[in-house]
Amino acid sequence: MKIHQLLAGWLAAAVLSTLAGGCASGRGVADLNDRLATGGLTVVDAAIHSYVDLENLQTTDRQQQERIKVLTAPLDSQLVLEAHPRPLQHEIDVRLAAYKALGDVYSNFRGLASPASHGDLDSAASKLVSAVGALRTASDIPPSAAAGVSKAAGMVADAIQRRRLREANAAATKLVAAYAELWQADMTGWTDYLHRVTADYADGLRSVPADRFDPQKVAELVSEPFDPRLFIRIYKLNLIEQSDSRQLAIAQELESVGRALKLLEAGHAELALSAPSTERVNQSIDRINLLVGPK
Amino acid sequence: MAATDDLKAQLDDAIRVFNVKRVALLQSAFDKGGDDQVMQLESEYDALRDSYFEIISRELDENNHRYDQLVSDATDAAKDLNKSISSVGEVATVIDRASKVVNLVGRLVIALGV
Repeated sequence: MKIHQLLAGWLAAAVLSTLAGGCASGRGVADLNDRLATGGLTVVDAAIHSYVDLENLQTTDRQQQERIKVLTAPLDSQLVLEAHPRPLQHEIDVRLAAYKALGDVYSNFRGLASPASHGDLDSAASKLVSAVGALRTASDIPPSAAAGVSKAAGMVADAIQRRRLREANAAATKLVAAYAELWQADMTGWTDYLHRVTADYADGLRSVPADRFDPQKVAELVSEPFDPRLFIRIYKLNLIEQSDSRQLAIAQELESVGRALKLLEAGHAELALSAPSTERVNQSIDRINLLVGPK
Repeated sequence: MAATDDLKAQLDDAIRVFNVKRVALLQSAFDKGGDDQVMQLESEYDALRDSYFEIISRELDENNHRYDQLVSDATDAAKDLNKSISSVGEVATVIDRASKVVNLVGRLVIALGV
């Protein structure tokens, strides 16, 4: 090969590399890996936060249902009925454990490239495998997602034990993809649940007759400048709006975590390449922080 | 559209209409059978909600040879229940029909749950 062909080849590679935003190598890759692992922890925290919100929503739902039962019971009735508590607790518990285990892995993933790191990687990996095992036995998990998570968890555990950065990222790509698939599969159910909680409270509250309210007390609580005969209806609307906005915030949070998981997957996929693009990994991390990072 | 989507929609409708008409339904229950009947009606309402939560959270085996029949039976029962609730029909009928839906959904989940 002539020298000018070599130079042309080198120049083309350099241009491509520049266009792609530059490739990271050595220490750069290790730093990117650490940053992405921090991004992974951010996503895990957001997922856990969402599950805790759903957990609390079950309590809210029970309280709202009990209130509606009292408010709509015949006035001569002496009943104070309980509502069914926490119908989705088992599903939430299994998923919380799986995300906590993923968080342990990410805590250790940060030091993966550093020979001086003394993180307890083996223990984190085995916790992940056992949490994923529990996830797999949950009856509501789509079989394909459960199998994907289980297989990928084993691969991550192997790669972590061997401290191979690219291998670990390739395995993490599959693992996070399986978590993302599971999240997506759950979204319809969670959306239906949010709808049920919101709609049942709103429909029940709208049906409460005006004679169940003390007009003077309601007038103290409604500050809008409307005809006092509308106050009870306005008061009901205010209560419904408060409930709707809480549920909307949870729905948005669930949506953001789903998108952040896909970005995390893309970041790992990039770091599994022989010449990862610094810019693409950083873009994933920045967008994760925008979506679910601390506000 | 999966057959369970229709069942889910029918359950959703039954719960929604129950809530819209709950004052009339509960008063009718109280007039006929006092607190006992009010409690029975509210208990079926709770069970209906639980059935809805089961349907949205469980993975069902659509390849099971009984899938179509079981889902169709539960959907038809939910449609009958909707008619009773919408017209604020006889409270005993509402309770019977709600109980039938709950039993059929329970059977379906046991038979088809993955």
